Amino acid sequence: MKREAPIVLAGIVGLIQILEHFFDFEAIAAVTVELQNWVIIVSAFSLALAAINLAINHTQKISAKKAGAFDSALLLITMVFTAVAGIFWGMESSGFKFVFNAIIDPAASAFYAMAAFHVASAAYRAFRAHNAHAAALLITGVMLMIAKAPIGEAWFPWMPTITNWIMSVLNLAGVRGIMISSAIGMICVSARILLGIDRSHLGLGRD
Amino acid sequence: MSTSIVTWVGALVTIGAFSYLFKENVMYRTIEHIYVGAAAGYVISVGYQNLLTKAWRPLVNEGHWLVIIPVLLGLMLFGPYFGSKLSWTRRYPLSLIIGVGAGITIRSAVIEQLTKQLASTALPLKTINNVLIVAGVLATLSYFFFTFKPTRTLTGVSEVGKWVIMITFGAAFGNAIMGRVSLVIGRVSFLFGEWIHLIKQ
Amino acid sequence: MLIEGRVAGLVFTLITIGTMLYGINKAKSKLPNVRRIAGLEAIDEAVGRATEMGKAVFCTPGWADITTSTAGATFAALDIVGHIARLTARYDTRLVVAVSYPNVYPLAEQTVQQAYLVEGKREKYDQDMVRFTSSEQYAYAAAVLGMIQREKVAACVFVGQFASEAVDFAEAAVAVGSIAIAGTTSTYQLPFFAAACDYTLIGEELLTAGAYISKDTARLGSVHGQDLAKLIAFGVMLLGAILCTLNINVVVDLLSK
Repeated sequence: MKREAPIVLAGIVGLIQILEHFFDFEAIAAVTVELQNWVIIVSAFSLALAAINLAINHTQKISAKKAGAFDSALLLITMVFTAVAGIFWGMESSGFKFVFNAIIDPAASAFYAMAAFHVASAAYRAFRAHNAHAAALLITGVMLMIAKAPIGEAWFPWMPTITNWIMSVLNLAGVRGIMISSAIGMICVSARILLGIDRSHLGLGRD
Repeated sequence: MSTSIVTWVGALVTIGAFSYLFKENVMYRTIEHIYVGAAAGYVISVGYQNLLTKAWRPLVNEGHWLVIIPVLLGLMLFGPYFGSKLSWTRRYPLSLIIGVGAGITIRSAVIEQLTKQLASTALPLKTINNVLIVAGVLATLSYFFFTFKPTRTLTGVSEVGKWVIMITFGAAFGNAIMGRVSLVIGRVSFLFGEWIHLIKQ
Repeated sequence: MLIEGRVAGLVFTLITIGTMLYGINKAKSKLPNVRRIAGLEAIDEAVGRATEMGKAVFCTPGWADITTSTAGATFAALDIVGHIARLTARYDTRLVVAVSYPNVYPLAEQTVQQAYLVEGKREKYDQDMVRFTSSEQYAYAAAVLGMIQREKVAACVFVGQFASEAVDFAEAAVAVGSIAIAGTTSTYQLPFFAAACDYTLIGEELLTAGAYISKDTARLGSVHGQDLAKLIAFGVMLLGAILCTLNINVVVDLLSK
């Protein structure tokens, strides 16, 4: 029973989500809303579990005086300060807003922008690839770059026509093929779990 | 130069993050840990608010006793910390989360990614472009046949599929680069405009 | 009452699950041969390389919650994490797993713990192996970039759902001279992985990982079932296109029901 019950629970919960999507029954819709609330509540406890892991790992680093102990201390201080500010002073408080506006927001923007440099170096790496498939990737990529850049359009006025065709025909076909096969894969991975065929994620293994 | 402490801290955070591009260094490490700590504190605050609005208030103000179940399930996540005999407790909250996730995956995948895409691919084969789209989708799909006997036809078609996939990747790659460059420009204008006022806002 | 516009979806769900169950049943008498997937084969090689060099293996099951529409990719990623953990347990190689979403954390922790248990190395499991970072996208990215640089990794495996941080991870792995293996179903991020990583699991290749690695009869049978569902999709599109050419829109109409 201890082994079967979690499988049955996952199956029922999953089935309700699926039925709600295809059938118009008020009772199922109400249960789905309730279940989604439950997930939010359980997720809050998962967060507590994860935060404890984060705190333990960094506290251990500090107490063992390992390399990076100072950084771990900084992490813990900022974590506690932000959490205290958010919980006790409120998410509209100046302390909480300061953390958000001065640290979280600019850091997120900087890391997002950093991808531009990495995209450039990834392109350089693709340049050095010596197989035909990589060359196809590279040539198409370069053509798209030229077409998008104002100077490229001035030098090769015909380029946007070709790249528009690539985007609306070849790119469309490729994306669609990947999407369709992924959808079928996703359905099977999920169905295996809901039907109890794949039990490993529940820590039960296959028996 | 800006006199706002928010702008100053933001600028240092931005420089620290960008410094990673040269090498992982003390400044990056400091910013990384402060950022991860702040983000963890932020999500803890959000999680607390969720508990308040979805569990505590409905229970206390509305007498919605049903929320005790997810609270108990949430507490069961901590079972393994109280000895290996209690490790089974974690399976129940996980099965709720996994069940919901698997159900949502199926319902989202089947219409948006499957039936709508199949319908959009059933095009009249009256133009070269339509023929290429249909052929391209079918060839790409053939690349993902894993268990069929590799006949000459299947191998050939799936090879065409691989080429379509690579061209698709190249197109997406080239398309993204210019968009990403504009993000860098945004950050540079923050540093030189908002922070040290070198660029006029 | 069936909701209009979703009937075809329900039919396809049932067809896909039906073919999957057929494949599983068929596998009991004859195991299907799954074609070689280079990215998955490379995982063993990458862990072996890290072991020889005395360095760590880094992996992350992506930036997505398991309560969203991309849960399938995360489940597949966790299968790969489990496989890597078994290898690192077997060879006594250091393992670092970075987790982004809190709900994925207990699953990843359980997966790695169980792998060490199965390999008879329970005592080697360390709580520091599975690290929660942040569900905030770029805080997760910052932490992963830092770990790749500091942990002296020789193999990096990025599997699951990713957003714009994908290219940062791939480049960070290459910068430290590590083997980089990536896999995702996100068509936006696949190009970056394909350009920068040594091996890339494209879309459904990632979702097949669990079966490919475990060699489990039911899972392998399920892959054959997936193929049959794709064959049906293939036929529907081809038939739909031919009929459309003849001005008969019956397939498109049925798919829109």
